[in-house]
Amino acid sequence: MAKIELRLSSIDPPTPDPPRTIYRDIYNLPSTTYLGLTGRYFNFDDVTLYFQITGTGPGYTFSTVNLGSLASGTSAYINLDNFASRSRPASELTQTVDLILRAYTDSGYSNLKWTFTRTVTVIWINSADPSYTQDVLNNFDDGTVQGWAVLCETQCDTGLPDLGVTTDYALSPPNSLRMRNRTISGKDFHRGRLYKSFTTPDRNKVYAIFDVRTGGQVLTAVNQRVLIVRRDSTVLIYLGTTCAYVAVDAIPEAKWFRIVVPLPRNTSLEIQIAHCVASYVGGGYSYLYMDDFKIISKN
Amino acid sequence: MGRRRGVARTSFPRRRVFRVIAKWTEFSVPRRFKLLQPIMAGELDWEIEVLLRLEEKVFSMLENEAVPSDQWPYYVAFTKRMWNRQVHFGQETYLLEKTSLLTEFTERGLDPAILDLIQVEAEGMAQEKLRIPVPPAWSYDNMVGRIWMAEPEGESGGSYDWTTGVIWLPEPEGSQGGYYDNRT
Repeated sequence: MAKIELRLSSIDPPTPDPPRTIYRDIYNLPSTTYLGLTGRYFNFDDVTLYFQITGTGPGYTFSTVNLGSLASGTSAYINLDNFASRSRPASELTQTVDLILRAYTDSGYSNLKWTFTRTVTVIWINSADPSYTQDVLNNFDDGTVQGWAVLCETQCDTGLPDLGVTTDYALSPPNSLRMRNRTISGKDFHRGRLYKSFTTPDRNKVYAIFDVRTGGQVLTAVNQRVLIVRRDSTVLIYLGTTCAYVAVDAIPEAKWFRIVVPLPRNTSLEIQIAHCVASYVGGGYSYLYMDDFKIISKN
Repeated sequence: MGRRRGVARTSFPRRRVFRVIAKWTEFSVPRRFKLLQPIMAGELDWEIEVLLRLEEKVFSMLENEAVPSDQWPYYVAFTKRMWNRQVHFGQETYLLEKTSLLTEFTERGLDPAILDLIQVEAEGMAQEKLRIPVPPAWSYDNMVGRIWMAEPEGESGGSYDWTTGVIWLPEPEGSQGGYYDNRT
């Protein structure tokens, strides 16, 4: 058995990683789609190993990414932007892809020691399909925040984060929602939360789909670290690495990306989107834009 | 008359084909199952969690109803079969299955009033099992080439850091109009 592992959840070994599914929405994606993924990889071996990740799947072209060394008995998070590309399917589709983690004993990635394969189901949905009911649409085009609110999770400057509708960037013109935040003086990172409560429809399949974009007043001084999507206290999506001061972007910056999450039926819940940014107070504001938040469902 | 020991079986084309298929499936089928093992184990993990919680609920109900503990296994067996029916059947078929199961356990001598109470619980837990969607992998799609951005206005034009040589370009804030931005 391989002494390495790739997980797509924060559940620690030895509890088995629960099954995970990649949900994607065809609607309005470019003709060539680009998948981003955050994973957590483990080194259970007695020696330092050099990790490499790639994948394989029908119609996919995966990048091969060298992750560098990882000490014995440790784990690390990695966000792989544009990890895989694939032409956009014409209709809804369910397929599987294999994520392949390899561990080498040398920094030249020539002496392969372990290989670990994680099979993940990919479900493509088409939110524009007439079989879906659109239960919620928040596109902020009426000029209001449509019930969304913000709070500070940690180390925000006084009175922040704040929330408003803006025309700075919009996936569907003219407006998008913007959470603005800044680190309090003396600290080096902050985390704010965007949230809203919903009651999900009583149908078999319920999804939340939304597009976000991160930014900063001075992009080079604001480093995007983590984006977390929660259903109440349950983490659904964790993108990035650590919520701490590291002057490197760990999640995409200055571009829109789409997240799709399944929701339980007929349940009152709160959707939370937490945004962690590494910056000093002088680095200016961090921005989290959101547009076209939808809840769709079907039987 | 049977075949004599030491004499080869007559080889018919149909049996030759069967033997080739048998040899092929013998190797490939178990491997296909092994491939699924980690996924199946994960799915079972969720089911076991729900079933354990169901067991705990039923034990507590039976205790409240003062049912002798030697009868508990029969009630729990009923609950789990009811749970299974709810998970696998729907609508009219489910109602038929439910009636059939209630009749079966009533005829075995279990109290129909308590069975009624328990079946509601089993239904609820089955719904809970069905309600748990498979959690999402931590993934997203890049919306390259589909960005609409307003004309930047009312923001300082950036600055130059003499120590690092980095030009700071600010994001736009406060603006009018718009254009299609094709940056990646």
